[in-house]
Amino acid sequence: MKKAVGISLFIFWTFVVAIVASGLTMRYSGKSTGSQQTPAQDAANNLPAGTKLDLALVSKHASKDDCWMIVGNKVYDVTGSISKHPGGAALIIKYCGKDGTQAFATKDIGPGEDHSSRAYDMLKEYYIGDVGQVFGGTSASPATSTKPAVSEQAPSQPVVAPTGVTLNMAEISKHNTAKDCWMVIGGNVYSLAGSISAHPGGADTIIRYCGKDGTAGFATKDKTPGRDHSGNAYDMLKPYYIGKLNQVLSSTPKPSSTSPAQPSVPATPPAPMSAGNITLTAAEVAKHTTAADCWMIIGGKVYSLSSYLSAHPGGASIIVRYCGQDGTTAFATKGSPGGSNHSSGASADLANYLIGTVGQTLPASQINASINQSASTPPASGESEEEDDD
Amino acid sequence: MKNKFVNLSIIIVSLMPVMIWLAMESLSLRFSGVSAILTSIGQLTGLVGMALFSVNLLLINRFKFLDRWFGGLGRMYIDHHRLGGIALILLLIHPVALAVRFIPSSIEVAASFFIPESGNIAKSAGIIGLALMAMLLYFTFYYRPRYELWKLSHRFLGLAFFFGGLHVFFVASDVSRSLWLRSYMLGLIVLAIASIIYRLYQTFVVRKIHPYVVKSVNRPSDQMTELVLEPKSAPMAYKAGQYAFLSFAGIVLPKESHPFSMTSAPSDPLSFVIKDLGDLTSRVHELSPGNEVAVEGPYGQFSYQNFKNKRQIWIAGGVGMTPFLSMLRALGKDEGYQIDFYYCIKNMGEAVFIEEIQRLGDEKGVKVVAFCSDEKGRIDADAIRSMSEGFAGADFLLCGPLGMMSGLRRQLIKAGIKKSKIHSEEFSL
Repeated sequence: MKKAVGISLFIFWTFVVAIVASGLTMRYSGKSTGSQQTPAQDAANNLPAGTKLDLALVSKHASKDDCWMIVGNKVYDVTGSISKHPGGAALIIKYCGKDGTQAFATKDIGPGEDHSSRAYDMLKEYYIGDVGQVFGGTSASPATSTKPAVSEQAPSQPVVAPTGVTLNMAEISKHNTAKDCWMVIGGNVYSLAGSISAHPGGADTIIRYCGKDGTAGFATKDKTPGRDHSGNAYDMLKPYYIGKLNQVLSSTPKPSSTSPAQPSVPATPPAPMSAGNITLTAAEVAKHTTAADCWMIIGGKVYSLSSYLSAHPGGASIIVRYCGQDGTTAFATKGSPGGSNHSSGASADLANYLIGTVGQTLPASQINASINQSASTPPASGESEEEDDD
Repeated sequence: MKNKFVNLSIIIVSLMPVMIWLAMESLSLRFSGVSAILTSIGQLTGLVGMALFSVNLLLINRFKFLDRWFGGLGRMYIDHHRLGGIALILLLIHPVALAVRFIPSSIEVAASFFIPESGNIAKSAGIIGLALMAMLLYFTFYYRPRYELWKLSHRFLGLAFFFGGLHVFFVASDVSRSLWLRSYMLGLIVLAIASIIYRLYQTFVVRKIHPYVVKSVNRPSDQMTELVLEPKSAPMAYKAGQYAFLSFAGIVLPKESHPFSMTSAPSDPLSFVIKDLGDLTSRVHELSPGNEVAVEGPYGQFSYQNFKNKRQIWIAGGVGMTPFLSMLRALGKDEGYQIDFYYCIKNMGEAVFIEEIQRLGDEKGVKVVAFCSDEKGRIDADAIRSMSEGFAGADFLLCGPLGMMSGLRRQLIKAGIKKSKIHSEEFSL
């Protein structure tokens, strides 16, 4: 017994010292995955020009000797990982040629256990490109490199919000997977699928809140007591913004930014509304809440202010804050409690953007015309000016 | 004599997790490749190792029923020692098997198996518990320090076990996915913790102790001390051949408790003969009349009266004569026993109480043979057979150094004596 114990102890400590020493050496000698293209990418670049990286293509590589897999909107050639997989070869082979996102996030067991962030890192070695990416020819390098840039990365797929949908929790909870991930943060709804693979904190921490309110999670990096994300990170949410919680989405499919940091407020007028009559109710006004399509009630009248935003001396964001709402008090106080009123010149300027009176029913075409007119009218700079352009 | 079912029970209880584990998934999946095999080894060693550790902690309390089941607490401690060693080996294999899976893909991840991580309770607890266990058990299996220190260090294994329990509770593995497995493992752990708590309670709070004081301290030889004690309240009742744990008040000697066989007949003043073998025993002669002694017992199933067979051959080696001395003193003249008593020492200088033993032998019809190894070499079964008639039909009582007893036991078996007729009292591990 004594001998057996002694030998076991010796082997154990030797192993532990050796492995920890090698592990630490490797970590600190800066062995990184590098920013060159992966062999998988090299191979992929040789695809015929115009090849689109989609599920149809991936499904052609569905065997253990040629195994492509989609994980979190990215395509990987995981053939080389199969023999190294600690969980065994079978579990990977099962998803060759398929979307393995869910399986990866649950280790294919119910209720499941996510892979470590280290495992998600290791996927990079096998990265080919993003789903939807088109290959071949000269400019073959994918928009996102192996080390996805963390700063101001526009989502590879534009955030497309369906029209006429109410952004309530019931709707949001329908988008609860890695491929289609909506989340509420601070009262705003974001579509975060495109951000998952680049998330420094790992994919699992985001996926956990898909379809849910992730405000607390975001503010604590999902730990207790936790630490908030940087202001930079909050800024980075903007490209993923769909709308406000409980907002009824307008007919505009184009994603708009609520950030004043955006250099240009889109000058194009909102797409024309449906034909027929429209009654200027608060509910109707509430449909137009973005910088690109901004209606506001001031003093019982409805104005369309999107084309004025960039000219506003007080900045665009303070107006955008009240898009879709009644901004009477805000206008009268310049947005600060106890603040001063706008000048008479400013009030007169407003008239250029008038759509109609609250409660008024107007033909849609007429509303469109007024909006177009105000868009083409150069914003007055404090002087009352009216241009007759009928 | 050890109850037959004790070994079987221990095996069943420790291997039950394996049965549950097997029922969870098909074997072909569990052993479907190198990685799966390593995972399975890791899981099984963890489960069985922890089950053994739990069972082992049930074998630390001096319950009378355990004394009976194991045929003496001495045997229980021997099993405790062995099971502990096996549990340690299995638990050492556990993280190694799991970590090795990652070496082909990432040595860093393999290394991270052994580095505690804040926020990962399961991993950190497992690492701390196992490291503690390995370090502490070094002092049991290799370098034993002074008894007091060793005993203290050994107690900390309870802490190592607690961390192991945390690991089992928090780890995301089979034990968290299967309600059966989880309940079983946690159930064992809870029982073990209850046993630890009871032991602590016994040690630090209450003890079934008979308070005695030293009446006289004698030196029958320069290596032996005889203590005669006087009860402060009710005297302890016992059978000749049994032993008790003695602990001294800590004034003259450290406050540890050690088992010693009574040498007195139950009707006589309580006496012990203690050989100079270690830190405490070498200093027992420093006690003086009036010193307090706590006597905890009696324990032991080693008594001539426990065996129906009246034809008995007693074989004592060195200080192993102590229970026999008690038995000889207690033996009635006409009880019909036919006993041959072999008192084995190096030479006559080592023999203690030899005149009394020979006198008692004459009085009570016990054949006493003082067998000196210096003269005649080591005693063996053949020698005994030649000196004892009716050798084949006797029950053998052995008490002495472990090596001597195991050697004799083997020889007796070879000579045709049935195992069930050979009884021994273990003094040490």
